Amino acid sequence: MCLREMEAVFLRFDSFDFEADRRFQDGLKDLKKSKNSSEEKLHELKLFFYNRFVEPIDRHSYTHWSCASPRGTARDCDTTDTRTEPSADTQQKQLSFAEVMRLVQDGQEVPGGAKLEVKPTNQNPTESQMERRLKPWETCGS
Amino acid sequence: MMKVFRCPARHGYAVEVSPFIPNRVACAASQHYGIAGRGSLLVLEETETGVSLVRSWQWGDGLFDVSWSEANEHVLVAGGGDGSLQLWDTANHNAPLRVAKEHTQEVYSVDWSQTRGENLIVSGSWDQTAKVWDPALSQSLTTLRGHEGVIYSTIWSPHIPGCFASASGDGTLRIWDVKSAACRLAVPAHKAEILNCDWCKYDQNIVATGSVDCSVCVWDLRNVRQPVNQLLGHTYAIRRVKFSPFSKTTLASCSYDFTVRFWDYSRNQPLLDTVEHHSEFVCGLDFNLHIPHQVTHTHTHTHP
Repeated sequence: MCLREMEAVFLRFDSFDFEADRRFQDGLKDLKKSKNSSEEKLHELKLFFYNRFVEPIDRHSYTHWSCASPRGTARDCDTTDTRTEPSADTQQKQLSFAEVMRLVQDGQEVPGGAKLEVKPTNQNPTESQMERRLKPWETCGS
Repeated sequence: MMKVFRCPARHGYAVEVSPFIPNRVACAASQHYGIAGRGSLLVLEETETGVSLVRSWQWGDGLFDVSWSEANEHVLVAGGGDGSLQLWDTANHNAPLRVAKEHTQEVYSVDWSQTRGENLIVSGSWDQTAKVWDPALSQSLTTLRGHEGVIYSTIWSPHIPGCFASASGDGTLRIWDVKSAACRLAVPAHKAEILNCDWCKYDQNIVATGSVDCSVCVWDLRNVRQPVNQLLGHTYAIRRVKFSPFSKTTLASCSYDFTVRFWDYSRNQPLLDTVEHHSEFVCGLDFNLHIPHQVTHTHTHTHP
């Protein structure tokens, strides 16, 4: 699935009306009975439900995406701001995950990502001078 | 005690302790969350006061995994977003020794075999194939097909020659025999993507899987109808699992919930410890082979 399709799924998930969905609300009642209805659990339940009944959503990527998204849907993400990195490497602002995705989707150059062509030397490796140590599980006679 | 190395504008994806030099680690990293831009390969050394950079190389695309040679202390292999494997030499080169580009999509895992009398590299890719290579990376020796999703992890068995395990987005753990180029076992281990797997170092039949369903499952390959144990506690996808090199039943996992957790799968209450000092996703994890109780990990982001 390309980035554009994936982000579309994420946006649909974010705007899905869970309040109005009976199946989801029924599931929620069960969760509340278990006295374990933290924000996190609720979010997990939404993802689980959406993936099962609406459309497949890659939770792994969604987490990454929402965490870095400027809209900041996920909790404790301190990477959404665009602070300046005093880096000798790039001297540029740190882009959020969503910003990078958008640039890539629009076919634009990502700052600091100018093409780098590295060619192999096709030389032989430096000769080894060390004996490999036995692994811990090789020394105990097992 | 904890020592930290920060690399500006790079996101760490994998970290591996040298099999030769106890205080040396390699770290595969990517710019821009691995979506675009360059990759970096770093060799770091722990000193008395902190962590120092021994060598770093740039690559034209993100780097997602790295593995040290088991035969030569200078050599390491990395896998990149451009589908390439590169062979690097810490001693004196600015560029890789060799580049092999056969995978058609991101290479997400590389591993160097540890069994005696064998010196092979295995790679796993988003093109759904795993490839086995000679240590010179000249041409792949065999291509293994069967997964119906991207491959996130390929790990050699530390005991069985020519045998590796793979974890995939198709929800299966697979065990492969390289000689016959065949899949020996396909375990429907999770109902979600499996991002990583590892072998127990003291029992050749035990494998652990870490999934986006937030669980780590420990499997006995002789009976895979149900896991030996299911380790619950992480609140987001599990990015990497590693068995301890020192203990049969201890393993560690790191997760998008910013924590590293330690487990003893033989216990009814398997969680031993939770480490929460990361402020970003933890992606890479390794035990020090030489020094008991030392663990290295890396995160996708480099801000404090």
